Amino acid sequence: MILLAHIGDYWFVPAPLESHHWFGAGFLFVGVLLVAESLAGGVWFRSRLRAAIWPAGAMFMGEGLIVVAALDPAGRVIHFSVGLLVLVAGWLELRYRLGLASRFSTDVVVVPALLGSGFEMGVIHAHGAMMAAASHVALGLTATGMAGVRVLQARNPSSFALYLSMGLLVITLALILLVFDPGG
Amino acid sequence: MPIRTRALIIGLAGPATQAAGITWEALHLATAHLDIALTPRHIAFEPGFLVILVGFLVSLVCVPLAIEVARATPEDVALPQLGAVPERHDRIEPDRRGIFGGAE
Repeated sequence: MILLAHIGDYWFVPAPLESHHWFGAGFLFVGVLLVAESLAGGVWFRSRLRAAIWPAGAMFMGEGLIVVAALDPAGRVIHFSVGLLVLVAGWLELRYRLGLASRFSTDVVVVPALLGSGFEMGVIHAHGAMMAAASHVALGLTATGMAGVRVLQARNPSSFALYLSMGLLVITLALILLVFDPGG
Repeated sequence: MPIRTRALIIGLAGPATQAAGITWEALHLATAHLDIALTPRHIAFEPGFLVILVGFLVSLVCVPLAIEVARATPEDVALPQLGAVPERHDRIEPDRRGIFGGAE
């Protein structure tokens, strides 16, 4: 972390807009796979490796946000705390999918993590130019929508529509990061 | 939704994403790069190229999955109940049964 804090100006370190594109690509990958997961149903979960892609992807992006917090002094606390929340939520989702944790114990952390990330991104971090602020509000609303879908899924875990909605919300998150400029 | 339709959508997810990325990048190059040279940094970070890469990775996962789904039954594609199942304590353990199978 100390090393990362000192290499922020080197050519190989992505600029804020460029790292947003990478995160957008990461969310697009897991979002499309979540849609495929909802269509494949039980066939998807025949492979434990496939079942682990979504939570592992979330954990990878959470770690990425923590690295961004070390590299970029702007919004360091926001990036670090959201990264930590995403990392923990991904780890719990992985345990849930592998049958090591119950839905309730996972949601007790995942839903507040999504709401917390949404509040930090959509309210605290929503500043700068008009388009940047609007993009952050859209990111916050999408994360809040994901928390809502997650709560509804607890009541009906086998609902195809809710599964599909979660995938589409993650794709929305990706498109906000890829198309708009939340860092600008 | 019919199994064949599910398999078709899953199989086309990767190529469709790649097609979107190619269209995106073609439009970007036509509008913003007529006079500016394309650099390796541009390829590594521009959304169009990244979407093409994502489409390729999605294809790696989804094409074998589509074949599996096409061979599955409607029961197989139902969404399963995930997570740990709470232990039940209301059953009699096998080693505590009597010699004729009844409870001690």
